[in-house]
Amino acid sequence: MSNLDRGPAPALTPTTSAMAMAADGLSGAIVLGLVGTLAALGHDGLALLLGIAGGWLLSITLVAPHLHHAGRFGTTAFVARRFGRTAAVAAGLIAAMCVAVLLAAEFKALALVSRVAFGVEPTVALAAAAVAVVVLALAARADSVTRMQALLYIPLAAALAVPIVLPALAAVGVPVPQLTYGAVLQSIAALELKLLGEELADPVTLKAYLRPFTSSTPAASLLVTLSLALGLAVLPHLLQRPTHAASAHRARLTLALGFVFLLLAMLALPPLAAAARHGLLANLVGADVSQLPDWLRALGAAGLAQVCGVDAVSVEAVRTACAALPDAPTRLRLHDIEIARDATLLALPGLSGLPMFLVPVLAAAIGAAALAAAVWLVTALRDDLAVPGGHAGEAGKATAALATLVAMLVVVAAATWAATDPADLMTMLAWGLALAGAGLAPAVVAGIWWHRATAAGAVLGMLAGFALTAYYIVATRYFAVPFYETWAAFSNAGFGAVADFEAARDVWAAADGAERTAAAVLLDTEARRVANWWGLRSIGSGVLGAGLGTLVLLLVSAVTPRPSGSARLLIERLRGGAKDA
Amino acid sequence: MTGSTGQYETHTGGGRKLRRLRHLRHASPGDLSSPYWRATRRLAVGVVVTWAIVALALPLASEQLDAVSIMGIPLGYHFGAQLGLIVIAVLMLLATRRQHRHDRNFAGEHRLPLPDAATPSRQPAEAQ
Repeated sequence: MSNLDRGPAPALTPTTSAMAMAADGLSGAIVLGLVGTLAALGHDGLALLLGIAGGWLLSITLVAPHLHHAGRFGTTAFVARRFGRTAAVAAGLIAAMCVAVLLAAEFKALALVSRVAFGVEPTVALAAAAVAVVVLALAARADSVTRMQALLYIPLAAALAVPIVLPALAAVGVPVPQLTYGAVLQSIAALELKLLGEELADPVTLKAYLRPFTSSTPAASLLVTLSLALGLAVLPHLLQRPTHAASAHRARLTLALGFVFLLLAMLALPPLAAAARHGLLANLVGADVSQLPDWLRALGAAGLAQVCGVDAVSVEAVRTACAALPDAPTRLRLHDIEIARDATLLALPGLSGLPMFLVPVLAAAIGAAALAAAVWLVTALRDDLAVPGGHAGEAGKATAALATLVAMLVVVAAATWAATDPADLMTMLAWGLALAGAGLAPAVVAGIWWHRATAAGAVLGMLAGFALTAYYIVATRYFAVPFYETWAAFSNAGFGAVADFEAARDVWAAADGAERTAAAVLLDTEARRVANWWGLRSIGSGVLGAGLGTLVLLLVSAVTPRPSGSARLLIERLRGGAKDA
Repeated sequence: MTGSTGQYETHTGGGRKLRRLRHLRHASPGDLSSPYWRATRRLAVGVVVTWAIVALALPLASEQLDAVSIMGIPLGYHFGAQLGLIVIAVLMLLATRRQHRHDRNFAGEHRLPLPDAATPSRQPAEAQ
């Protein structure tokens, strides 16, 4: 048994690990991204919450305890033992890329909160964050990061609770937001109708907050849920704590308790989003153009709020821009105001008239959570990559050094990519999970549950799945025009969107000089609206890759010889009874 | 565990015909399944199917569920924002408890079926 073990059991209790995992599940990027997306999409955003919950559930049933049973393996170490070195290299690289995407989201969240609350330039914040993460991840051991995150859970949950508990206290005298939540939702629905009646909202662009499937089809929502769940179930940073627990039972307990802790705080996110939406509709829409609140101008100065198409830096700028619009509004209409999705939570105190000291409080809690989550991502990746071979001595040291080097490269790549502002936070997080779901989930799950899965099947399955999802994400984001032109027959875009795209293409073809650059930007925006396969959103594309990866894995495994030797021993051990119960 | 492995190795010395027929035998080494693993698998399938119904299928019926309201919150919305998440948490806790019971029931038993013993003594435990 000793040759399969990873080291002495740590002294952390399930509660400590669970709280740390909950803090990880509430990382800065996740909180900001979820609240923003829920406020923008209403009902359709809930697929994300169900996807996150599903990831924990799949992990607890299909993955984590079994990796523990097999010998306290992380993702890459398990793949190495089960499918050999080539598969381990593929899994390690895929894990590193997924972590880089998630890390970029945390970096972006850090830059955002330091910009809004403390006025730090994004590039400075990103550089400082990257250095801090490298230093902390190099210095810290996994269990000290876990203790730090566990401590962080309490202030984080409190900071999220205050903005919804205060209004509930004021309205009904009881600090239970659930009592006022229904009234807030009803009020949003009523306000939407009222604004439509007063022509302060555009009936074409307004999406009813409580109505499902206004911004995505039912099938696309389902795929988003599934894609997030698959990715979350196999990511090294979520698996490391349960798989290092003292027993398989404790591994499950860690995950289950972690989800309960996570849920306690996560239940606050839909009410927070609803409060922000309500504040926007009730307090900002319909206000006089020349009376912009201070907090909105602060957001505008940070480039996070636009009114009438320009950054809301001053009343003068906004008044000029609004007057230049064809219908020159004197009162702000819903579609004149654009607050960046990711800044929704930080705009909430201003939107719903809460005390403004909440902004730095929220920003500090979220920034700390984002930094801790980033450190954990890097630490967990390093530890996950370090032991695949399980070598002692020189070879082990070389692997560990290589793992550290890869982890540091991931930090640099993530910070650089985050500086280009690739997408909103939730989209970036969902991309990371989609890539993990496509690249790692089929091999890890089949490795546990299907004894016939072979190394060749796993390697080809991982590569095929990852490649397909990566292609879909990269092509629809960065090469939307060629993607659409190649796959136009598969797009579900309506006539209007296609006509807009073709018009933009004609303008671009006719333009030259500086105009051509502007036209290219417009063309790209239009192309991103129509570039898809059957309406599949890139954040749900993990299912596509996971499907292909599973198919390849099944077919290739069926025509290659059964696993034998150490892989077979591992399966026996995995499926044996619970000696440590 | 190492003991069972050794016995398995000797068993694979059987002829090609036996090997071809092996998949038909319930607790054969080719299947690598033990009563413990079968119980675990049954539980996992149950939990995942329940989850698929709760988190994947029910949200598709949000429009219909929204006809009912709980405390002013349409049920379909309530489900995605609170109820469904709580159901999943309860499911996870129940599964943890159930699996713990399995673990204790099978503790100290053979971790793998031995090749030739048809293991009648373990049949009742498996039937639970």
